Amino acid sequence: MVKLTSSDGQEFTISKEVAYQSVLLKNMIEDVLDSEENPIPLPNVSGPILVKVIEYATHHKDDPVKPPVEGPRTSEIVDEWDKEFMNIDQGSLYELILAANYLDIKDLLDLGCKTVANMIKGKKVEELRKLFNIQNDFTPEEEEQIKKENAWCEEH
Amino acid sequence: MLLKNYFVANSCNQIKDTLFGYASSDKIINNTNKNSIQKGYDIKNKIISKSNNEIDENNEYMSNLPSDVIIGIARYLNVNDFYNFSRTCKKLYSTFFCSSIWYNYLKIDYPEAFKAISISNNLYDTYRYFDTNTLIAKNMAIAEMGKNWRLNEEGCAILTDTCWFDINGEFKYVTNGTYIVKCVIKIENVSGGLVGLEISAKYEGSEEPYKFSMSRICYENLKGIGYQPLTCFKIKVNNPSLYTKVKIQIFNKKCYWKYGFSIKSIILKKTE
Repeated sequence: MVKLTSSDGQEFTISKEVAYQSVLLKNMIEDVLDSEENPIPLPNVSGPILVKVIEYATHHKDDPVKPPVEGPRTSEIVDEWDKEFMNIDQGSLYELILAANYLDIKDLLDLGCKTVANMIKGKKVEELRKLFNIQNDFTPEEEEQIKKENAWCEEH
Repeated sequence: MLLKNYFVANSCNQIKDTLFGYASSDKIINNTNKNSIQKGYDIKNKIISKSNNEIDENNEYMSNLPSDVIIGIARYLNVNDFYNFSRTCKKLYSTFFCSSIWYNYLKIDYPEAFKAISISNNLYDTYRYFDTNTLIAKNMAIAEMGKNWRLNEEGCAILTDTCWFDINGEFKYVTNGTYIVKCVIKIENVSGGLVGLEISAKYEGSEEPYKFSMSRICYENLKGIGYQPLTCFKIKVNNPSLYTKVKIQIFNKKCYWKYGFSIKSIILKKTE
């Protein structure tokens, strides 16, 4: 078993099998002999997000290793469990992606990227600003210039 | 100066911004922690379903994602969707020119050309070039299409039977430089009516159009060997605006019956 401490000081005990889904944890566990006694601190991951991460890693612990995808990728999330798992608010999605990136859990990071990509697809700039609450910090002149320089992108 | 260059030049700042993005995400996490402390660490209930989005309202999350995550997201988007996402704000727009992103797009959309690309080039420009330098037959304006011409499943235009024809194509996003104009055509066993086929090119501001006329020798060489790129001429585009339109016309008004001619595409190949 492995002990983890979240940024807010909560302690979690998980099996090595679950922990090994994270490349960061795997390396840490292999480097440190007594990780069963001393909890591994994760100052970048909060308790609630770590709960989510552990839930994901536990569910997928027996998955076979996927071969890398060549060629075009589809953002469709096929697994129903994954779909339900990602049914979260934007703040949590953001933190979960950062946690997956930090812990180096490739499949979870991919799932997060797919989820964001699906939110972006087919939307216009103004719709995206509204959806993601993004402040437009361009002047109207800059926006015009950007449209001119990248007009070819719009033909897709 | 192109705005694009400004953003490329400022990519160092962007990395700093990304780091700052991490720092501010810590802040958000800390706020969440305070909440969970107040709730007595009742984490199971704290999470995070769509109904409970009180921390969601006034925060800009997605524009603060680190650039390696943005690269990951771009892999699941086409160029147009990624472009729309990128131009929502300055921070995201600075990631738009990131070479890794265009490297991936080139690899997927132009696998043949990808093998020969030079990584040291600006890959955004490389992609734009491959994206805009080929005009396929179905995007050309062909007189009497449907009557004297038909499109096959590969998008090639096939001449059925006519005594004259007129094909017009337009490249909209040509940057300054020298290009070789090539027409990918197929000549089957036909009447000699194709000799004298004329191909001309002009761009906005060019004085005299460039011209090419198919000789008997050229016609004989191309006959019966499938689709071949026919090199017509070199054009030199020099125009003060960012993009120039290059118009290509292929026509033959001589009154000989002709058939057995197909066109697949016209290519502008950049050269020294």
